[in-house]
Parts: sequence; structure tokens; C-alpha cells
Amino acid sequence: MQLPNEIIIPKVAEYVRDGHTVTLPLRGYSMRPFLEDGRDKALLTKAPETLKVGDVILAEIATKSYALHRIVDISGDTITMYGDGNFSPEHIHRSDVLAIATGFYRKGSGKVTPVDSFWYSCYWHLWLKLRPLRYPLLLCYRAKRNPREFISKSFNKILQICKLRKE
Amino acid sequence: MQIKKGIVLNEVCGERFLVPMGEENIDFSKLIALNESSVLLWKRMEQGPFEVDDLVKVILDEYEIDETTARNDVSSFLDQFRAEKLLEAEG
Repeated sequence: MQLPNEIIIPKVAEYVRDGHTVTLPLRGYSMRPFLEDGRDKALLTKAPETLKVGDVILAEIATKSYALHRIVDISGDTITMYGDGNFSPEHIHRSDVLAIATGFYRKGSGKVTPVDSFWYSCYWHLWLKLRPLRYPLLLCYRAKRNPREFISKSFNKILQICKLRKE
Repeated sequence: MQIKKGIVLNEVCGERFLVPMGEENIDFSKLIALNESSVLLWKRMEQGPFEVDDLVKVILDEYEIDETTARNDVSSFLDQFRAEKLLEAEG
């Protein structure tokens, strides 16, 4: 049985505040292509005083709405974060930050990928640079991950467009 | 059998769930959500060593259901603990 994030996250935040680290299973598609819904987990700890661009943080983006996204800009107390698989940013206040990710468990591996590892750094630096190409890249990722669903969805879209033209 | 030490009952907005506390890390992927009847089971389990029959009795004392259903419920609840290796043999 899965509990909704609005139940779990406040508790996660509490444990992190108390000095524990927390392993959190991840939901959603907003951190594609690196993190996958239901497959991957993040290792969270208390956020340090100074955050930096590239950090992945857990934050309350609206009342009882939470996201684990990457920081792309910091100016004063305003932090801009952006899901790797998203097309729009969120602007939050420093005080909305609940935790920082120090590593990730991916693809069912029991071994953590720390955020200071070489390949991970390469990934996110490159991914931020490639932001203009994000849409086609994510399309390719989706096609590769689930070819059948991708083809049927594309087919339906084309049908829809044809119908619209006829009308 | 008995439950491993360090499993903590949490309550948020009326929803109750168990999480195993490691020495420092708390793994929310091992979370076990509780409903009304499994809370009763949990209360018995945290008192100390138990057998499946003890838990079945807890359910039968509280709910008007037949023993087979109760036994199935208990066994699927215990399976969640087994899956996360949160049960251990006594001693």
C-alpha cells in the first residue's frame, strides 16, 4: 500500500530536521531521465546553510505540495529549481527547503550514487547545458523506455491532428 | 517470532504507518501502512514474541469474521514484514 506524499513528506522532513538521514522512494517523472518513477530512491539529509546550483533538494513548492528538483539559480533567499524532466521552473524561498539529496539509489541497486561522483556531475552539468534540446531528448528517452506506449500515443496524436484538419 | 527492534509507529493526519529506524538512516521504502485492524495487530506484536495464532485471536476478538479470513489477513500483514526482513525468530 502506498501512502500519498502529503502524508509521508512532513514526517521525512521531521526526521531530517532531527539529524537522521532518510531514504525516500521517488514518484513522478519530473526528474527524468536520471530518476525514474517507482524505481529509484534518494538519500536525504539536512540541507547545509549554503546551497548551490546543481543541488537536488526536497522542498515544499506550495502548501502540502512537494518536489525533489534541481537548483538552477539562487538569488538571495529565492531559489529557482527545475525538474530535470520538466519544462518550467519553481521559485521557492530558502525556508521552503526541507532536505538535500546526497545520493541516489538507481535501478534497484543497493549501492548509492553519491552526488559528488564524477559521472553524476558530468550528467547534470551536461543536462543543464542541453536545456534547449530537452524536449526532443526526453521524447527519445520515453520512446526507448516504453516503445509500445510511445508508438500508440504518437499514432493517436497523428489521428487527432488529421481529424482536426478534416473539420 | 518477534519483530526487529527500532520499528516506529508514525501518525500523520490520521494515517498511521511503520518505518524501521536504522542507526542513522530511516528507510521510507520499507514503510508499512496500517489500517484500523493492522494497528491492533501491531499493538500485540510490539508487546513481545508472538505466534500467528495470537494475532488471529486479536482479530477474532475485535471483528465478527470467520477464522479463515482472519488468518489470511494476518498472514498477508506478516508477509509485508517478511518482505522487508523485519521479523526474526525468537532467541
